[in-house]
Amino acid sequence: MSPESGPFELIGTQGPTCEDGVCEVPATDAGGLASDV
Amino acid sequence: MAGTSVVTAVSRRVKVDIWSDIACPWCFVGKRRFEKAVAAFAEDGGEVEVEYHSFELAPDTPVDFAGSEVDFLVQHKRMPAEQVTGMLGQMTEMAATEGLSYDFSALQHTNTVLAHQLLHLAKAQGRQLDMKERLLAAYFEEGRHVGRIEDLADLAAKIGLDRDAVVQALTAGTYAADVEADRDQAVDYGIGGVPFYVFDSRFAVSGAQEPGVFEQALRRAVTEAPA
Repeated sequence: MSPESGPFELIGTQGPTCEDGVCEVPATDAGGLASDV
Repeated sequence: MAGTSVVTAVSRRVKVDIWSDIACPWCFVGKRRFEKAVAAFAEDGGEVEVEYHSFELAPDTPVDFAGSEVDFLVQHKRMPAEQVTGMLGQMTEMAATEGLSYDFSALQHTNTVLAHQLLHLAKAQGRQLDMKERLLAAYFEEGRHVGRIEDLADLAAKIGLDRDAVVQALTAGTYAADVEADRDQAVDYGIGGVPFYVFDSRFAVSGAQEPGVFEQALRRAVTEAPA
């Protein structure tokens, strides 16, 4: 069940998180996230 | 009585439940961004009650991992060392923009289940927020071990908790069931990554969003409260 389909109304877009011991990383140049690593 | 009026108080208090881990660089960054939103909300008379919930990102992590954070990610996630080094450098720069001094070279990778039990103990004594801050700073900024009972007891004593009582509770696993209950609730909610924030059990924010997103959630929780 994703948060969107769960019991809550999701505010905003998906922000950076850590999942399964690995975290998203910010891009070296400004703006956005590089990728899940 | 003639002229008696009924004043309906509008609650501006919002309960925020936060799923988070200690070994989670975005959780500390998100904490700072969330705190900015809370400060702005408070300027308008809002009140926020925060409760942290346990989320173990890597429950299979050994308590005493012999190696650096780079070594851990290379070995356990099979990522190239160069990529890991670059990633940690970027994360350090990002944290610095929030006033945090991450030191991945000193970080001691460990299992966080006991740290979560300590957070539940601290919650029972009304000190959870202080304990959370202490644990995150110890892990990311000070290179301290947050996986062993004696080290955790030292950190708990720093915020005024009874050191001996902490050792006793962690040894006995007094709060182990609370950690498991948080984990089960996260599964029920479909939470796959952290930090994850729930506002008055109605609105959610996923990830270390900018303060404005948290502020929006706080204000909507107040203005769109059920009648």
